[in-house]
Amino acid sequence: MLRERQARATFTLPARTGEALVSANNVAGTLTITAKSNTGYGFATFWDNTTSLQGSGNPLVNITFAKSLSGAPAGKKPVTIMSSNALGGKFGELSDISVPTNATELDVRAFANNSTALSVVINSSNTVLLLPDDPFVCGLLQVNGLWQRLDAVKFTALSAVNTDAVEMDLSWQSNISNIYIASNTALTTVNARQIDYQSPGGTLNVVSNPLVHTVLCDNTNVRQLYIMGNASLGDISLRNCEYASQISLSNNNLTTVDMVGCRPTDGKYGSTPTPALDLRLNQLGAAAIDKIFADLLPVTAPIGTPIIHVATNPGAATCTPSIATAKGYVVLTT
Amino acid sequence: MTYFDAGPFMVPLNAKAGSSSMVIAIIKRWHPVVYQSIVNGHYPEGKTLQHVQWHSLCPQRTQPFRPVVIGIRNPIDRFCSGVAHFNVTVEMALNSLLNGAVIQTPRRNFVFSKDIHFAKQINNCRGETHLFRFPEHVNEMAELLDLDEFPECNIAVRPKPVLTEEEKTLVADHYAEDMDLYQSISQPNSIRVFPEPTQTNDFV
Repeated sequence: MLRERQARATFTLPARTGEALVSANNVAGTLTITAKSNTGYGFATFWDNTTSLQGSGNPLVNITFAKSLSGAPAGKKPVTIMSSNALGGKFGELSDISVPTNATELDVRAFANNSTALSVVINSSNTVLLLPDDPFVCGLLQVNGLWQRLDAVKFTALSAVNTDAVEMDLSWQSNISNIYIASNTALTTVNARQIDYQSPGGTLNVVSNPLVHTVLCDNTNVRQLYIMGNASLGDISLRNCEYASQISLSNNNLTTVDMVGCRPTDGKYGSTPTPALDLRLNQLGAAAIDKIFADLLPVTAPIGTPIIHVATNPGAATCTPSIATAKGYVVLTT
Repeated sequence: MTYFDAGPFMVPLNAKAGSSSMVIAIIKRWHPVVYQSIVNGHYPEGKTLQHVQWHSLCPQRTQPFRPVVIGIRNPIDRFCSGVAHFNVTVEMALNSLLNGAVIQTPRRNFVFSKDIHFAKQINNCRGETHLFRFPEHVNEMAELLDLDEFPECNIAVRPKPVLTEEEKTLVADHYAEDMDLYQSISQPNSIRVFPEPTQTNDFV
């Protein structure tokens, strides 16, 4: 687990604010780190106190730091990277850091309370990621490896997560714009409860994760939910997601959905247009569908006439649409 | 961008230019299974299928792969329709459209410069595009798309504002390309070729 890894870690150099520490243990090959800075320049200090000033002054272009590990001493070999001016003086902020598979550790704790979103890409499950305990503005967290668990603690402005973690706990985060969790073959559990999304609301995507059996996303102000194509997902809680106006839960294996306090409203536009509440291609029986109808809040003016689509469920033909139509919804059953 | 599948053509979602009527007519003609589902639907008391917006159920792509058919509305009329739709003042709408000011509602915040109801119509034109004026050429447009019916849907419930000359100038300047395009449509089914899309996506 990440927190256990944090507890085991030891550190050679203290990182100053805005600096990242990358470490390797190998004594062969090359350690290659890429990053971007808003100055277009970056400065690295290697384990042997050699330094490297890189970049062309273009903030859009990745800066690459590379150093051979051959002949290096055994044990931990830290590299400090930071944004700099053209002369190598500390200046500006890093925005994207990607570390190679031979990196053993990426320490971004010195980015606590940063103002610019920092994106982090790790390419090995053996790389320990050390995150700040204080609020951390993270743009993208991508882990290309198989972790057993990811606790994304105190992220703010997190725009995307792409990981192969088995369990993902993003609960109680704040200021998140969008979460995108797709095609993770090992992921079983997503805990996205109590998230305070950015106003006017964010998006939670949990798409095509074949082993996901539990998704918790109750008590949030999420606006759009796309939880689709998760073949093992049998039940889900959206309780008290009153601001969720476009909810697509199609093509899972749902038998129950908790929608107490929800009021899906539009769903007519967007990159993935769906009915306000799309429940197609699940395993919902008539009683389960009727419970959803009963749990929904009534439509309020001037929202219009939202559509609930329940076709291709075992209970579609025998459910009781009048429960929902009495609240102002249109129900499609075929 | 959203382009509805209308048989041999694709029809962009051009909000505040008859899109609700167009969508149900396209579904009825070109997607009969979807239409039957709608007809068999269960409606609140006093509501019919014409009270519902069906955009999400019409097969569509984000880029066209067949010739595009579009009805271009006079940009000033369309702007006024959008203002009435959101029930805001002209001043608020212009401030949001031109300066990015946020329109706040209890459930959602809008910036008109990024809202589909105020998007420039010319941006929907891609590749071979068959141009009509909306609503003047609606019958000819329906004929080309082989639509036997063009029901009135999503009819405005609030009166449209009357713009001052200064406001008209601001709107016309903002939508100068749309205005030129609208005025260039001298007859129904004027065909022009616009830059091709760079990619296509599957139906959703």
